[in-house]
Amino acid sequence: MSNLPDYIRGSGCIEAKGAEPARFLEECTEAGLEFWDCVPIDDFTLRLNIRLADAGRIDRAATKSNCEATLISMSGTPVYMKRLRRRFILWILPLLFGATLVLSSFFIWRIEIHGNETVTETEILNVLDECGVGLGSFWPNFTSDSVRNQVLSRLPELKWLSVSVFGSRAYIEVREATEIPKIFDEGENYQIVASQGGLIEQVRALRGTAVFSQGQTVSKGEVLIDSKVVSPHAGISFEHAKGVVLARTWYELTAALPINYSVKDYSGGTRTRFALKIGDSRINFYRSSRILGNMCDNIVTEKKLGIRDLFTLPVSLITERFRDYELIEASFSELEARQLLTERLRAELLRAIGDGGEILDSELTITFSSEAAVATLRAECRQDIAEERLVSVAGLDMAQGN
Amino acid sequence: MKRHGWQSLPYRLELPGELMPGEPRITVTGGEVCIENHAGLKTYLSDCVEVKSRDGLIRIKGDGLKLAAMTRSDIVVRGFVICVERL
Repeated sequence: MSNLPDYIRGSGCIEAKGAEPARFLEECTEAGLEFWDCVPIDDFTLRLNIRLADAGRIDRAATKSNCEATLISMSGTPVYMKRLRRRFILWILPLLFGATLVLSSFFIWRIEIHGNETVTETEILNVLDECGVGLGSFWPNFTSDSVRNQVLSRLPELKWLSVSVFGSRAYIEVREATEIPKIFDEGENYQIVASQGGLIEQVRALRGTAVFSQGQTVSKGEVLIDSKVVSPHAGISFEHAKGVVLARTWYELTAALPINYSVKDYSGGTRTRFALKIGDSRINFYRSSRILGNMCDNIVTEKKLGIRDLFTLPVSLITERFRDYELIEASFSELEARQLLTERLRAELLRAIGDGGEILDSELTITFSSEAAVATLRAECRQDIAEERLVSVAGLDMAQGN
Repeated sequence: MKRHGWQSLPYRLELPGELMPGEPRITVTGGEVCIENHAGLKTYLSDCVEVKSRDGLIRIKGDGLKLAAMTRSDIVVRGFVICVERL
């Protein structure tokens, strides 16, 4: 047997005995029987290979040539198939496996979500579950349109969603809705108040009446631009105050950092245990399910069985890896503590003065003790201290009374 | 071999013998002998293969001769070929 097609078709080894074995070959050729690897054993014997399908016709050629043809051996796929015919389990198992694959492809065993940025996968998965799309769902029961309508009505943060099912994998593509910008309502009664106390450098009242001017000091919460406008022609009216108030502000921020802290020292001991998850059931391949000790990190990985992009089985192999560690005491050096505290306080200051603010001058003092480092940041800044505040009805009545 | 009548016509006209239908053609290539237009196999042994043809017998002598292929018109013999004789 020299090539794969011959192996698939099957072949048999024939031994022909007779006075004229060459005539046997002639008869085979006349009958159109294909043969190969023909070897003369002795003067009256030949050995050759034929196709299994021709084995029935070989006797006729042997009779014609006064030879005796004997089938010595058979090989190839038909022989193995014949052997397997009575071993039902070997047929049933692949059939069952195939049937399971076909059936499982009608159910969703894996959900992939793409395109979400602010809305978490868990939120989307929960809503999908409420809509009937979850692990083990029979996907011919739902359509992309129906799922989209249900999910979008429950999750207003999304503006579009599509569900594509590939085998047992549901591919969900989402687009998040853009946030509606705040509309400036001229009719609403808003005042501008100071978000931070300081020395006013500039007041630009775009709408409303400026209460303070350059050089005056204000404390937090004081009204900087009032919504009340007095006109000689229209009288008193209230509008949505708007403006920019630049002021110099002073901050004193304090932060403390413990000098000593604990770090994990991995001793190198690792243990791994396995579990099989079929649907929602879990089969543990270990005796006790308790966590092995407290001082260890637990890393869990779940691998879905199946062929990617083709089908996914409802079976996952869960690997839990425990990595032992010991807590050891460590301490910050003065330089490290200074850097950490400086970064922390500076970030807090920048957050306090906002995007348009600037730091004019700053001074950092750090005191070290055996337990902690305490830092104090004193800074002089320039920032916009204008902050909108809705005037309450009571406040409005008071203003009208005035 | 003496030819009679119309069979000798291509030779008289000095035309190639291949033009005659049924004329055996023997091709020896390395350790392989191909005989076209044969008329049957007479002897098949590992040291001698005799093939019938219209003009007579073709004998291949050698060692470890094997019938590589055989159809109604062609025979291919492989092995260590010593000589090819026409009898």
